[in-house]
Amino acid sequence: MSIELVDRELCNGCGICVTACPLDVIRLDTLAADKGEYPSCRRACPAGVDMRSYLYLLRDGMIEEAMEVLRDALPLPAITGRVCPHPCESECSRNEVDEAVNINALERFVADRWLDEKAEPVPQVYAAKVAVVGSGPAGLACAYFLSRMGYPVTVFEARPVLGGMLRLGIPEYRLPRTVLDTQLGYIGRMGVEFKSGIAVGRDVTLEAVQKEYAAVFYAVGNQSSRRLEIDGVGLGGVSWGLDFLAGVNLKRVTGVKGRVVVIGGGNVAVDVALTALRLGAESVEMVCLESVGTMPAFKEEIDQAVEEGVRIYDGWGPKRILGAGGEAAGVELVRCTCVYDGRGRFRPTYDERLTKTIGADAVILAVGQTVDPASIPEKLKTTAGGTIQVDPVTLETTCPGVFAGGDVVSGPASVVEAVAAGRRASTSIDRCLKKQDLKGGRRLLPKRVKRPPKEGVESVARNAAPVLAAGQRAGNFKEVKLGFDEDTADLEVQRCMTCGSRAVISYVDDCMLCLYCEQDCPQTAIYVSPEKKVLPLMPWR
Amino acid sequence: MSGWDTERHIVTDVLVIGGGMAGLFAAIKARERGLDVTLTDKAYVGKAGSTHYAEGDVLFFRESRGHKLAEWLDIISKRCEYLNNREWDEVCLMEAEDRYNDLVSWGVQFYEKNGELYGWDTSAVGAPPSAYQDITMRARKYAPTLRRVALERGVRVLDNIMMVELLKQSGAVVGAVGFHVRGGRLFVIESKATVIATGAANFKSETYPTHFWTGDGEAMAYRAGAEITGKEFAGGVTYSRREIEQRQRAGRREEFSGEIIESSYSHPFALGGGFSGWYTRPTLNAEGGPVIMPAWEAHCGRAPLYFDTEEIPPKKWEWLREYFKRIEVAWAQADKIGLDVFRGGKIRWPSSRVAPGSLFAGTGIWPVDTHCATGLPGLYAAGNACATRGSGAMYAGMGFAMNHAMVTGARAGSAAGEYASRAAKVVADAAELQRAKSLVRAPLERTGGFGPAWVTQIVQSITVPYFYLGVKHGDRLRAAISIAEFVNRHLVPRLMAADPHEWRLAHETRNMALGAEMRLKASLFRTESRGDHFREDYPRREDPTWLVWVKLRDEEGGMKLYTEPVPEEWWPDLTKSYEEKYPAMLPMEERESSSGGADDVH
Ligand SMILES: Cc1cc2nc3c(=O)[nH]c(=O)nc-3n(C[C@H](O)[C@H](O)[C@H](O)COP(=O)(O)OP(=O)(O)OC[C@H]3O[C@@H](n4cnc5c(N)ncnc54)[C@H](O)[C@@H]3O)c2cc1C
Ligand SMILES: Cc1cc2nc3c(=O)[nH]c(=O)nc-3n(C[C@H](O)[C@H](O)[C@H](O)COP(=O)(O)OP(=O)(O)OC[C@H]3O[C@@H](n4cnc5c(N)ncnc54)[C@H](O)[C@@H]3O)c2cc1C
Ligand code: SF4
Repeated sequence: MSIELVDRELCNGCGICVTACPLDVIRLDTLAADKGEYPSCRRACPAGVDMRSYLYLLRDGMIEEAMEVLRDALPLPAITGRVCPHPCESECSRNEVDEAVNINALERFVADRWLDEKAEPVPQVYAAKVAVVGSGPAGLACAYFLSRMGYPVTVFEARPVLGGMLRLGIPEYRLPRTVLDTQLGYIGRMGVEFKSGIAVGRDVTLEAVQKEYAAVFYAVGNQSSRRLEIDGVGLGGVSWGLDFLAGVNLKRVTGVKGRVVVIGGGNVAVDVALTALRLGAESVEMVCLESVGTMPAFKEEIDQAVEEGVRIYDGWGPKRILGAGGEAAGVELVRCTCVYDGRGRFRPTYDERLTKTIGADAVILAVGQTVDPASIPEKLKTTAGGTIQVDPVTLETTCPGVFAGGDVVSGPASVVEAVAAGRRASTSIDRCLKKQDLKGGRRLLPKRVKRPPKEGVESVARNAAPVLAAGQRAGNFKEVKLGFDEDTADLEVQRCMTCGSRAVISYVDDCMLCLYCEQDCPQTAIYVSPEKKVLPLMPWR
Repeated sequence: MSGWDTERHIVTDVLVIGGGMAGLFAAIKARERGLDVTLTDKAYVGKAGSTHYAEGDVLFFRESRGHKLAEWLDIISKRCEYLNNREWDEVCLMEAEDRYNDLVSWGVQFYEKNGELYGWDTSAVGAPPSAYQDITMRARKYAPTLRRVALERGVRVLDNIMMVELLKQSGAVVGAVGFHVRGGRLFVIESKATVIATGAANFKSETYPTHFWTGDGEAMAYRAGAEITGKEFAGGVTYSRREIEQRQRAGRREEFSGEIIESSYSHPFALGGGFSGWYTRPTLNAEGGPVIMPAWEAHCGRAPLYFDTEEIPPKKWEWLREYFKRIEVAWAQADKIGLDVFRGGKIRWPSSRVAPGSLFAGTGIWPVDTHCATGLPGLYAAGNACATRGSGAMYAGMGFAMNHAMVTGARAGSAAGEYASRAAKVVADAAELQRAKSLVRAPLERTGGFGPAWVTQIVQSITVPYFYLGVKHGDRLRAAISIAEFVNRHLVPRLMAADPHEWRLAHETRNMALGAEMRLKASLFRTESRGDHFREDYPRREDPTWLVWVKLRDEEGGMKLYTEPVPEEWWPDLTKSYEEKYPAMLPMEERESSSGGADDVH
C-alpha cells in the first residue's frame, strides 16, 4: 500500500524522509546491524559507543533508552561526558557539512540524568572471583563490565582513595568530585567490592591474590612524573606536576604564593597552571618547547589558560632553575629551534645563544608521566618504555590469567582509552574463566559508513556548551564547562545525521501518498506508489 | 541533575500549538515582544501542515495600487453568500501588506516575472483587478525559512509533540499536556497564554494528503468550553476518489486516464464558476449536460464527467501548464503512473481534490474579537483553526487562506503576548495536572477496548461518502448522527493504544469522532442550502431566517447548537431577486445559466 520501498542499499540514513513525512510512516533503524558498518564517530571512539543510536533516541525524547545505550559501552559517562578528548567529534561526518555534532556535551546531558539513579545490585551468577588492581578508569571499567556479567569483582587500590587519575590528576574545576563519587557509588552498589589502601606487590603479593582470585586485571596507570635533569631541580619551591596535583586534590596543598612557572606544554601542564592560579598564585607562566599552535595540549585548554591570564613562553626550553638561599628564584630559558627530528621523534634542538631569564617563586615541572616500576610485579614482562607487555587483542600479559590495560600498557593516554581497555579485558577474562578461546571472532574494527549524508543536509550552527564566566573562576574550583539545558540539547541532537542508519517503513497505515518523502530523498531511495489500496475492514482490536 | 526526566515540564509565557503558517507567525510575533515562546507541532515544524503543501499563493491588497476595499468587500459577500464577517475581511485585507513585508524581511522568496510579483489571475474568481492581486511564494521553501527564523529568534521549537488537553485553572487556560508521538514522553507545558493553530478538521479521507487535519485544536478548545462554528459548511469534507470513480466507471482503472474530471467539491467545477469559468464551454456530464456539482452528477447517475478543453486558447494552455506544475502532488502522482496530464488538447485530472472549506476561516473556533481571543481567558486561535468567518459559506478567493493564516497568526501572537505580559501568573494545581495527564495517558493505560484504526473506519464511513456531507439529506444525517453519538459515547471512551504510534492515532480518532458529530449536527440544524452546504431536502437559501451563524458548544457533556445573527447591515438587499442575490447555481435549481460566484480549487 502506498509507500512501498526504501532501498536499503541506496539509503544512507540521513533521516530527511523522517522529517519530510508529517505522519509517522518512516522511522530509522540506527542499528543497521546487517550493514556491518560504523559511522565515523563510533569508529573513532575507543570504547565503540553507539552514538548514532543514543542520539536518535534522545531526539525522540527517549532518554532512558538513550541512557541504556550509553551504559552498554561506558561505565563512567558523566565523567567521559566532561573530560573526554572526544575523538568522535574530530571524525564526525558533519564536519563535511558545517561542524561536528557536540557529541561530548550530549553524552554529558544524558549521563547527568543518570547520576541520581540508584543502581540495583547485579545478581552474581558465577563463583569465580576476579581481582582488579588499580581503581582508575581502566580498572573501574573492567570491574563494571564483569560485574554486569555476573562475576564477583574486588578492586585493590594502593591509595586510600578511589579513582586513580580521575581523583588525583584531573582538577576539580573540570571534574567535580561529587560526580566522581556518584559514579563510583553506582559501581559499588552494583556489587563491586573496593579494597583501598592495599597495594598489590607491597601489602599483598600478586601470588596471594591469584590464589584467591581466578583472574587478575592489572591497571596501575602511570604514577610517576617524568624527570627532567637540569640544574636546580633540587631547590626548594620546585615540584613535579603529578605530585603537585595529587597534593592539591588530596587537600595537602591548599595555597600557592608568588610567581609560578610551569614547565611543559601538555594538558597536565595546563591543569597545573590553572590549579596554581586558583590557589592564589600571583602570576602563572608556562614554558614550552613548541609554538602555541603545536603544543600538545588541546586548543580549548590553551585558550582557557590564556583567557584566565596565564602567560605562555612558547618555543623556549628550561636551561636551569636559578636559586637564592636554597629556594627557586627564577628559570633560565633557552630558545628551542626544533622539537622533533626528521623522523618525527622527540629530539629538541636549541639555539644556545638565545636565552632569557624569568623570575619565579615556585617552579612546577609537568613534562610527562611514566610507569612507576615499583608497581609492576617481576613476573610481568615490560617493554623498553617500562609499560607492561600484553597481547594487543586479549590484553593478556606474559603471565596466564593476568591481564593488563590502561595507561600502564599504553603510556599516558585518556580516560576513554582506559575504559576501552577495561572492557576488552573483561571480555578476555570472561572467556578465560569459561575456558573459551580468548581470541576467536574478536573482530577488527568494522568498516566506515561508505557514503555518509551530505547532500540535502542544511547547515546549522553547532551549539557550544556554556562555560562559567572567566571572572567567576578566580580563587575557586567551580566547574568551568557547564552542561546543556534541555532546549540546547534538543537543538544539538537534531544535528546528528544518523549516518549509515536505514530508513524503515514502520507504520504504512499512516501514509497519505503525498510523495514528499520520495521527493525530498537525496538518494532516490524511496518509491511511493500513487495508487492507494483500500484498507480491509480493521479488526476492532 | 534530577533523576529521570520521563516527563518534560516546561514553563513558558506563550505556548503555540501547531507550527503551520499561523503558528509560526504567532510564535515569531509573540517572541518579538521578548517573551519566552514555545511552539509545538505533532509533525516537524516547517515541513508540516497545509502550509507546507500549499502552492504558496497569497492575497496581496494595497489601496495605493488601486485596490478598492468597499467594492471588493461586496464581491466577497456575494461569493460567500453573506455569512462572511466583513470586519475580519477588512482586517485581513488591510494587513496583507504588512504580512508580506514581514515575509520579505525574513527572507521568503516570491515568484517574479519581468521584475513583477505574479500569481493567479484573480478574474477567475470573479474579482476584477481593482479587487486584489494574487502573488506567490516559492513553494516548499517558505515554511522551512520560517522555521529557521523562529529558531534564530529563540523560539523553543518542539517537533513531534502532539498536544492533547488544555490545562485550566479558575476558568483560564494555563497550558496544555501532550506527548512525543514517537518516543512517548509526556510533555506538560504551563503557559500564561496559549494559541491554538492546529489547522483544519477532517477525516483522513484518502483523496488528499491532509491526514494531519484531525481537528485537535478545535476539539481541545470545545472541551475546555470554547464556541465552535461553521461546521455545516463543506469544510474539508472529501469524497473518496475511489467512490466517485466507482460510480463513474464501475471502478475500471484503465479508464482512469480518460477525460474525466474527478472532483468532489461542490463548487469549483460548478457551472459558470471557478475553474470551468475560464473556458468557453463548461464541464459536461455524461449526457452532455452542465455540471453544477460533481457529486450531484454522480448522485444522479450522470457520471463520468468531462472537461471539454477544445477551445482553450494557447495562452491559457501555457498558464495551465505552469499551474499544474505547482500542484506538485497531483502532478507528480500523475507523472508516476505515466499519465500525461496534457495530451491532445485535453486535460486529465489525476486525482480529485478536497473541498477545502475548513482550509480557511469558515469553520473552527469562534473568536470573540478581532484579536483572536476565544472567550476563554488565556486562549487564542489562529489560522484554519480559527473561524473568523472571513469566508462565509464559501471560500472567498485564492490566496485568502494563507493571508488569513498570517494575519490571524500575527494577531493571535501579539494578543497572546500582550495578555501574557500582564497576566498574573496562574498555575494549574495538582488536581488539574493530574486530571489532564491521566486523560492524555488514558489510551495507553487501558487494557481492553477498541483500536483507533477500527474506530477511524467507522467515523470515515459516516463522513467520507459524498451522500452524508456533500449531497445532504435529513434522513441520512439523522442516521449518521446516531452512529456518531454511539461512537462518541461508547467507543471513544474505550480507545486503546499499544505504543506511541497508536497513542497519537487514538487521540486523533477521538477528535475526528467529535468533529463528525459536530459536522453532522450542524448540517442537520441548518435547514436550508447555502454555499457549499447543500441539502436535498432544503435545496434553497432561506433569507433572512438563515442569515445566521450556527454555533455549538459543550454543555454538561451534551452538544448544544444555537445561532448568532449576521448583523443586518451585512445582509443582501432582500428586495432583490433570488438569482441576483445568489448568482451561483445549486443543484435542483431551474435556471438558464449563470456566471461568477463559484470557486477555484483551493
Ligand atoms: C592531570 C591529568 C589530567 C588528565 N586529564 C584528562 C582528561 O581531561 N581527559 C582524559 O581522557 N584523560 C585525562 N588524563 C589521562 C587519564 O586520567 C588517564 O589516561 C587515565 O586515568 C588512565 O587510567 P588507568 O586506569 O590506566 O590509570 P590511573 O587512572 O592512573 O589509575 C591507576 C590506579 O592504580 C593505583 N595503583 C597503582 N599501583 C597500584 C598497586 N600496586 N596496587 C593497587 N593499586 C595501584 C593508582 O593509585 C591509581 O589509583 C589526565 C591525566 C592527568 C594526570
Ligand atoms: C494542497 C493545499 C494547497 C493550498 N494552497 C493554498 C494557496 O496556494 N494559497 C492559499 O492562500 N492557501 C492555500 N491552501 C490553504 C492554506 O495552506 C492553509 O489555509 C494555511 O496554510 C493554514 O495554515 P495553518 O497554520 O492554520 O494550518 P496548517 O498549516 O495546517 O498547520 C497546522 C499544524 O498544526 C499541527 N497540529 C495539528 N494538531 C496538532 C496537535 N494536536 N498538536 C500539535 N500540533 C498539531 C499540524 O501538524 C500542522 O503542522 C492550501 C492548502 C492545501 C492543503
Ligand atoms: S508519501 Fe507522504 S505520507 Fe506517505 S510516507 Fe511519504 S511523506 Fe509520509
